[in-house]
Amino acid sequence: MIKDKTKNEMIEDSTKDNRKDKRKIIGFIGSFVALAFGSSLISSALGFLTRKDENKKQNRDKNKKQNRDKKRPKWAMVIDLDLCTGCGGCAIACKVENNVPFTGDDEKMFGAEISWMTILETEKGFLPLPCFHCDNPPCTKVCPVGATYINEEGIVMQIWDRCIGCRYCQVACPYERKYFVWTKPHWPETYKQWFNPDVATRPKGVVEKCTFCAHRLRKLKEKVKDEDREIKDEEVRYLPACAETCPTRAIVFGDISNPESIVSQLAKSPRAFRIEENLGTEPKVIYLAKEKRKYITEGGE
Amino acid sequence: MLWRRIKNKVENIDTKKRRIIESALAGFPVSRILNDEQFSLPYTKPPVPGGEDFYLGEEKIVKTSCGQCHVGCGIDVRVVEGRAVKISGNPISTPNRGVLGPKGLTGIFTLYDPDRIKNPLIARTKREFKDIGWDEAIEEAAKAISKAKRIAILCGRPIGFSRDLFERFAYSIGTPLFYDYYDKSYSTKALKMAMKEATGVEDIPGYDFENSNYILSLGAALFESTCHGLRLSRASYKIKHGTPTIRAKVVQVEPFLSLTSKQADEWIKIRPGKYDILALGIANVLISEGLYYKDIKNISEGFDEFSKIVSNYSPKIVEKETGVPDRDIVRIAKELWFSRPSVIVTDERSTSTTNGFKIAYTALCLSVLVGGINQPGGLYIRQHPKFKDWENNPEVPKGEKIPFYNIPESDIDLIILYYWNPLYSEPACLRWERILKNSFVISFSPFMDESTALADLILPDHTFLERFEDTQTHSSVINPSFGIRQPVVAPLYNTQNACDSLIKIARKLGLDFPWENFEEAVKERLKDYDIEEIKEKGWFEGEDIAVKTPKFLFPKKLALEEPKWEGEGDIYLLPYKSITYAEGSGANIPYLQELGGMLRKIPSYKSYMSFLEISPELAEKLDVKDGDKVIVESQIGEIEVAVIIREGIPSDCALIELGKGHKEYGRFAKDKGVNPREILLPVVGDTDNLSHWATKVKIKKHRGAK
Repeated sequence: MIKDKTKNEMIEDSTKDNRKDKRKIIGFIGSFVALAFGSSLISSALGFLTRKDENKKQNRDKNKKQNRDKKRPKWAMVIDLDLCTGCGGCAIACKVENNVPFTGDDEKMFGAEISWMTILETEKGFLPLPCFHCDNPPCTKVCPVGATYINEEGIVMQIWDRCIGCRYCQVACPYERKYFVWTKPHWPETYKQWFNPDVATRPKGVVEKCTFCAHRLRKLKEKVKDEDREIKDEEVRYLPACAETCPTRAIVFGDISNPESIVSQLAKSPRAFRIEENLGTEPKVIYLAKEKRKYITEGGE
Repeated sequence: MLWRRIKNKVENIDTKKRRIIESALAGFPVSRILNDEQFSLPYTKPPVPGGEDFYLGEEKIVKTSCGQCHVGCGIDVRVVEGRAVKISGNPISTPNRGVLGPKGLTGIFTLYDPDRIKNPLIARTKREFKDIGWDEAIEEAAKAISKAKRIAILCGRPIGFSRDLFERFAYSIGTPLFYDYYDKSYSTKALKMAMKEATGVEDIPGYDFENSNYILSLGAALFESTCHGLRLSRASYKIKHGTPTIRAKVVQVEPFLSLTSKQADEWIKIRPGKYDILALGIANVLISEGLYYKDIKNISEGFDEFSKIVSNYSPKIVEKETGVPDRDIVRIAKELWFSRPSVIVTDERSTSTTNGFKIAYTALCLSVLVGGINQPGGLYIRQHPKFKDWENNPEVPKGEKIPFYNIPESDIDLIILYYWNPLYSEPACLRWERILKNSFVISFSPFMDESTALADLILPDHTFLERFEDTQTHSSVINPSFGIRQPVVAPLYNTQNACDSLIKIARKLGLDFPWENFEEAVKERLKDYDIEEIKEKGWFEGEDIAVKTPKFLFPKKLALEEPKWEGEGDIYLLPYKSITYAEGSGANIPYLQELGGMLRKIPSYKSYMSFLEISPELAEKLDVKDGDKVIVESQIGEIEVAVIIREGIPSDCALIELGKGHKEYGRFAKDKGVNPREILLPVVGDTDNLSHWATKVKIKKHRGAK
């Protein structure tokens, strides 16, 4: 039967085969095209979807940021100099709360005092000086290792473990609110018992400063998070150790971005001023005094 | 706790297993965990007594009362793992209402002082001590007391059950020589005496600072160390800020520009110790113009006689005597009247001249003249909560109570010291060295102060954060209130509450002390109160008791005398207590020492030293500059001290801060600065106490000065 096949038939057969092949090829190509198209479709759809996701994410992030910016308070302090009696309670409270060492009576310690809250005697009354936590802090810009920075809530922090002790920030601060640890503190052994466990003691050779009692804020935030509510103004009003103890309640602490807080209300007072405002540092410690001018010139020392 | 558990487990592992674990830990030697010295985790602090009751990181707030001065504010102490970490004010306590001054904040340094007395000590010879046990110590004390014929008891506390316990002890053993806070030379005795004379109430006056509009302070150290102290500071929140339109005005009358004069709205300069004449001058203006309390004749006696006395003090005469311009006298008088309610304040500093009693009395008269008694914003009779008395309180034994300054040098057999360091805190204090050397001395001090160093037997007391006690406030608080002092931490050393020791001694002597310990004695007196509730809250404040206002007695005769100044020199020496000191009891706290420097712009390392503050004129006369040394000399001694030149000091006065120059009292106080009391002459004032402001001195430039 095979012999019976004529040449023509064979040709026909071959063409048949060819056609089959062609069909196969076309099918292949078609399926490829379809696949490619489908996959591109899917991929584009996927891409679209993912892009949507990204958009959503971005939006979410934006919202978060906005929320954060909205929600994040800006901590500030108001000190009423007309009320201050110069008792020194704030300075002592600060030292006890933050494990600040005493200087001792050795003459070589001249200029090595550490006092986060200093009380400056002026011609008219006393001027308590914590760190001003400037909104535009000169100290953070010069730090070569990022040990000092301003956080989202406006507190200028110092990471003692990261500090290399170059003292650039100390020099940059126009208010001399940064202190270099020159020696190992000479605590007697028994004094180590009262150390506040919430605040690390600083090693020799770093710069330290007032933190607006950030550890107290952190504790409060934890508590607030547990109770699922927001921080109330009354809770933070006397939160830092200095404000807590002040016998005349001259020191008030709070969120200056919240127009209803006592701090922002006091800051609007005609008695309000900030020290060396012309430097553009925008300090967040606001003073109140009847005779502003005297303090402004005095504080510029 | 967790660490200890791990350590225990590791200790029980045998060597084979240990090696396997070591190899598993990549060669980290387990044995190192066992050795605390070589390897210790950061939280392995040395254990503290009472720390076992806490789990790791546990903290609590204990309510108690401050014991750094006699005001006794209510405090909250944060205790972490058995360690006292931070003190803050108790919001419900009457004197401070949640705030606290620098002295109260440093209470933990009193507790953790490195030089506390850790065991009862007995001296074989003076200044050489040997540890003994408590039973033996009590035995020794009882033996010494039963042998002694003349016993003097010095209990430096003004108020409270512990004072009453010491009084009971003194009268039980039959000695009239019981001295309390009011026999100290720098005390509020003048105020108390004046109140007793004028109203019959034996107490210091209460002032309603919160509601007054005008505060005339006759030399009172209102914003420094004073019996009104913190309460006024707290009230000044109201004084200066309460109403925006009307603020209370604070006028400070004082010879020199002190911290208070600086903070006051107005400072009026006066010659030292002439406040009484000024008060009468102001009274003269008020009475002659008819500006006085309308019911004055109903609430007082002897007003007519008083106005007669006062008529001799016209502003012109007063100006001559006091140096205050007559215009100012008239103005202050009118301001006092037209900005009523106003109050006239004195304290221990203003009454430290020899005419202290008269200063306090005339100030009271002026207060009553302007605003009566028990009227809002003025002078008040203080109300005290009512306590049960102990049963069988002994009567005051017969016999003469020698004035404190007259205690003979050799005649006393035994002296008991509680809250008192006469070798440091009395004018002409070096005299006490001989007295203490000549007698058997039992001291209850928790610190090795000057007098305790000369003791024969030391029964160390707890510090105020370790003991149980009541707290009654010695300040111008009006409401009836008291607090309870309870142990915040377990006793750090082998010490005992002085009152417990005293009860044990008394029982050994067979006296009528029916309590096992002091806590029982306190609880007996507080029977009407819920002690557990007060312990929980930390403070008790009663409601106003309707007190019948007593008649005020104006003086019928008032012979004002010049304040006495003894000594051959020409400079008035005015020693004063700064905000950081209470009779030297802050000198062992480095933080307070350095704060004192900061407030006067002195570098920290220098703030441990003493400075004589003089005027620029006097400095020119003496040819000295800032920091140069001078010699201050009186008949009984001399001190060498550096000078600070300050504006606002009269050229015939020199100021010096009290509280420095300890010869003992721990590493932070010993041999730093000078004690001006060594050269103060023993001048007796009209309160029958020695006066701090009564010595004139010579000042010479030191030869070795640059």
